[in-house]
Amino acid sequence: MADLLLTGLSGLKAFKSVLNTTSHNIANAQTEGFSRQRVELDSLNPQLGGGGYIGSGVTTTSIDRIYDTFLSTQFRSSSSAASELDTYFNFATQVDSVLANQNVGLSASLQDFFNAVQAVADDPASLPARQVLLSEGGELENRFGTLDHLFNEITSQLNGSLKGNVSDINNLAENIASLNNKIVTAIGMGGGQQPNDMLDQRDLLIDKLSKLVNVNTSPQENGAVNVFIGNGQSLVLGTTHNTLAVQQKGFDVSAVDIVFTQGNNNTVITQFMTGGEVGGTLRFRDEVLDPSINTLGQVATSLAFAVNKQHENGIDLDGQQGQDFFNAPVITPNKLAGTGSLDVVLANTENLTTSDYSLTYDGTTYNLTRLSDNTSFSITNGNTVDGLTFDLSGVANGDSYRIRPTRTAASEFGLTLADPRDIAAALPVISEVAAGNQGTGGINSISIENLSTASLPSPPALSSVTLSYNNLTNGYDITGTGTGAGAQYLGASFVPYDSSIDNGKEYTLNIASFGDVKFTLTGQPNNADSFQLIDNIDGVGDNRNANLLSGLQTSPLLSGGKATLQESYGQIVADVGRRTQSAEANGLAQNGLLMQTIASKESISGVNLDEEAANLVRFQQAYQAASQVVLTSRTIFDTLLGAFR
Amino acid sequence: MVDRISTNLAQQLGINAILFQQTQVNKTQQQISLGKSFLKPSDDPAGAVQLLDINQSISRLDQFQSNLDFSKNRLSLSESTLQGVTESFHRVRELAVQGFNDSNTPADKVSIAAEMFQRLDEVLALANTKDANGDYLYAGFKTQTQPFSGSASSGSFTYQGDQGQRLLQVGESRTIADGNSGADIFFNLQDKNGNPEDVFTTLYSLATDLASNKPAAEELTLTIGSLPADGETVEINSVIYEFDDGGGVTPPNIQVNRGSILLPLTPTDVANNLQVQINLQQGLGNTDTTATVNGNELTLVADDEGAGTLSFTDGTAGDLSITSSASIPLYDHLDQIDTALERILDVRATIGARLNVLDSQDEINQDFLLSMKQTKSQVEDLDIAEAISTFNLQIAALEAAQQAFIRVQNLSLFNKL
Repeated sequence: MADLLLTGLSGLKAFKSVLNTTSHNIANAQTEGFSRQRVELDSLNPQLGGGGYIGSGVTTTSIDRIYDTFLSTQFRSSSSAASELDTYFNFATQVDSVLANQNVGLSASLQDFFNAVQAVADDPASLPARQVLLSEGGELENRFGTLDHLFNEITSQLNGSLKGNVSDINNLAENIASLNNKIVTAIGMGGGQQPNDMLDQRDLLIDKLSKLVNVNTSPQENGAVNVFIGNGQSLVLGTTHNTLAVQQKGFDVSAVDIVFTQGNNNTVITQFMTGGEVGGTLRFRDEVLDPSINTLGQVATSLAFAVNKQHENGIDLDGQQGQDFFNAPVITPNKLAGTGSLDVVLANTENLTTSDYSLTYDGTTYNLTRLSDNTSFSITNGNTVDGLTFDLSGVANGDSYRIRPTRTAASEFGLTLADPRDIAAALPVISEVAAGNQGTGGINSISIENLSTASLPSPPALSSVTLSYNNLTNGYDITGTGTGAGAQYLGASFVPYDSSIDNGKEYTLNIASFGDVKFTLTGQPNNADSFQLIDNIDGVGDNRNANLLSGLQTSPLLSGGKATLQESYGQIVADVGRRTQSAEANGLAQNGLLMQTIASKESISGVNLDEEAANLVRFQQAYQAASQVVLTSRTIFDTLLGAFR
Repeated sequence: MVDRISTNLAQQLGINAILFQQTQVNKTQQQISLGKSFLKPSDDPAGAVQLLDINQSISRLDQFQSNLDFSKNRLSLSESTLQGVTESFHRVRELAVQGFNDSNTPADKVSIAAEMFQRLDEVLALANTKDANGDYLYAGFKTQTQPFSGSASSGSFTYQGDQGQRLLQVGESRTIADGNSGADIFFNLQDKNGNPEDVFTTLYSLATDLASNKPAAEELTLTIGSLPADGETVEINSVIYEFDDGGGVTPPNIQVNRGSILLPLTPTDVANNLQVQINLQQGLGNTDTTATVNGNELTLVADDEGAGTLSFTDGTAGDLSITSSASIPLYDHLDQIDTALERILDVRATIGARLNVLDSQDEINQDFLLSMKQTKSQVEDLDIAEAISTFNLQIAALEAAQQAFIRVQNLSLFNKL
């Protein structure tokens, strides 16, 4: 009889427990990270009684959460990847929109500038046309500045985002550690029973953590979970946690590194942070933002360098030699260690890359490394590598430098010229054909290179160079007056010219203390026909240098002499566009995968309200039945008691 | 497929479907309102770069057209200026033929010459034409410097410009010269003897010769190439001149000192001596020839007009110490005018050719511009019909997703308990 009661009671207890669990499931149907719980019922050991072993009821052995560790790990890794791609895409799309915008993008402004150069070529003596060119130069400065500003804003956003992420990671770590503590205590107190809800909470925290960065977990015997990030750095060890922090990169005040703080040590772990928002942000910075800033800088530097170089070969409205049109590009190396100093000068734009460089000196070798592909060179003072000339005379033993030739170029780009009269549209040298020439010889397409700056602000005076045709030696004899007397062609005073093969050929005269004069020779001259090259005085209608400046628009100034300014800019646009497009596509795919893992996980752990409703009905019936058993046992007892009255 | 689904997931999937459709609809809506098939480079990276290139080409073409207009205007102005010059020259030529006619009195000649001087000033003014921007057309690069100085009164003319020729770019690989330097057109000419001339000096000397009643008759140029031998003679208009080294001459020959054997004179000195003797004879009335000397060249001019009024005989046949060449001033001048006219016509021809080139380049540029704009449209513009039908489909899909969500929401066992 007592057994009946106890059996009945055991049923009541068990079913009550199940009903509680079911209602707990229903109440938590919308709770994030909740795994449905199930009560394990087991029958109690039978007792030996008359006629056999009589069962003694039911007991709840445990309340388990329905949870698959493997699926959970899968979910974390998918979630980390999806979140990485989403963050990357969100940032990349900002850069993408900026570059596409006609009002902000560089392309239209470059075109307007070069069109204004041609307008000056149309009418070089016109001051309004010159003023327009200066305005367009100023507009270019604005554009570069705006783009630079936008990139800076994205950089601050990025840094803020990283700071926020790191702060979140630290919070999560702290909470996980404290939960570890509670769980270990609860397991101890419960004699091995799992505190399911706390486990769910901890799993939720780790899920959130994996959205931020890739994590590895390692469950311990006492119920705690250790969490590792990066390259094996332990974020949470049992009940203690370490923190991450954000610090400035030494040489670049705008960039941040992620450091791992353990005790008093700070280890930079930026390169190990992959996956999640942090990984996506860092990958965006490395793949999209930094290259875009550097390429924009490369365009700015090349434009300023090339325009200045051509401008300085010409003379302006007052006959003065052209000065810098834009701010001359300046490269300032950052010293990371040591006592010396390093000078780097831009030598040419054709070989300039978008990479940063590092230089170290150990007392014997100067080691230069190009950071984009980690190629190292051993250089000596005055070497030119990738368009940069290194002056190593001030470098001391143990020095280490970071050189970033194009990083700040866009922000430093600016218009230097202020007076429209100072625009050097003309060339300092003009040709004169002697009046008595009988033949058809001609001299055309004069241009100047390396015009001497020794007599600034005036251009160097040539006086004259005379080329006189000698049909016995088939060429022009070179004579000259003043500085022109030093004119040489390939080291000699003779220019060979045979009209049958050299018609239209380009020649360069080297004139010491003046510069190099290039021209083409055409036609068939008669004996003693001559040309003179003389100083261009009062030639305000001369537009030859303006034409040469305008030619820079379609000159392959960059990428080893293969890309124009427009093409290089187009490269950034295409690159960012492609990466954004691929991030979008990959993000969609990855999110699809993520949905599948969520579906799998939910199908195991998720609460189905219909199922729970059915359970309510079932166990309510079972409870009713069990209470009926108790009632029956009381009735039997009452009957028994009644038999003894 | 799993055979169990949590309530949460079921709802989430429904919501996700709605969100997805909304994004699609929104994107298409933006495309339609902007009329562009891609909104950001990431929609079509290759197209975005192509668009940048096309925009640059279009911008350059517009600039080339502007340059082309500049050159056309300048060349047209030059052409019409030179036409004026040509007309003046034709007029002067007429006047020359008319003026040198013997039937004119000296006063007539002076008044005809006066018109010639006016024409000279006119040509000078035309040569110093400025364009609409105040730049001199014919000064080469020195467009703020007046190219030609001098006037009909001063008689000396200089070119103060240079030989620069400005090039303007009118096509991707086409440049055109927008003018000619004054040196090309008006100076640096050569007369038939290879001597340099300029058109103004030509006009001036023509007018001056006419006004000074210079006969249209023959002129004779004697060139004393080498020292004549002692005893050599020349006869000019019936007067015999003998070159003497101090030993005396046979009368009635006129003695011309040619220096002694030990101290010979130069041909220039001998020419001077001969000139002096000729003019002495003219003064005495023994001959009607006047001589002027320039270095070793003597120019003999008859005092009377008409052909055949000058005669010259070289007494020592076979030697080349003295050579002669005859010319008629009028014809000389007419030759010079013709040379100048020819040069101007040449230049006008090149200007005409350049204007033709500009016309055809204009057409080429316009064709190219049209083609570029078409390509741009193909890359960038939205196919509205296609977009609108896609839009309708997407709206339908969105509505369906929303409907489905609502329907499923109502199905729960709790509603039946």
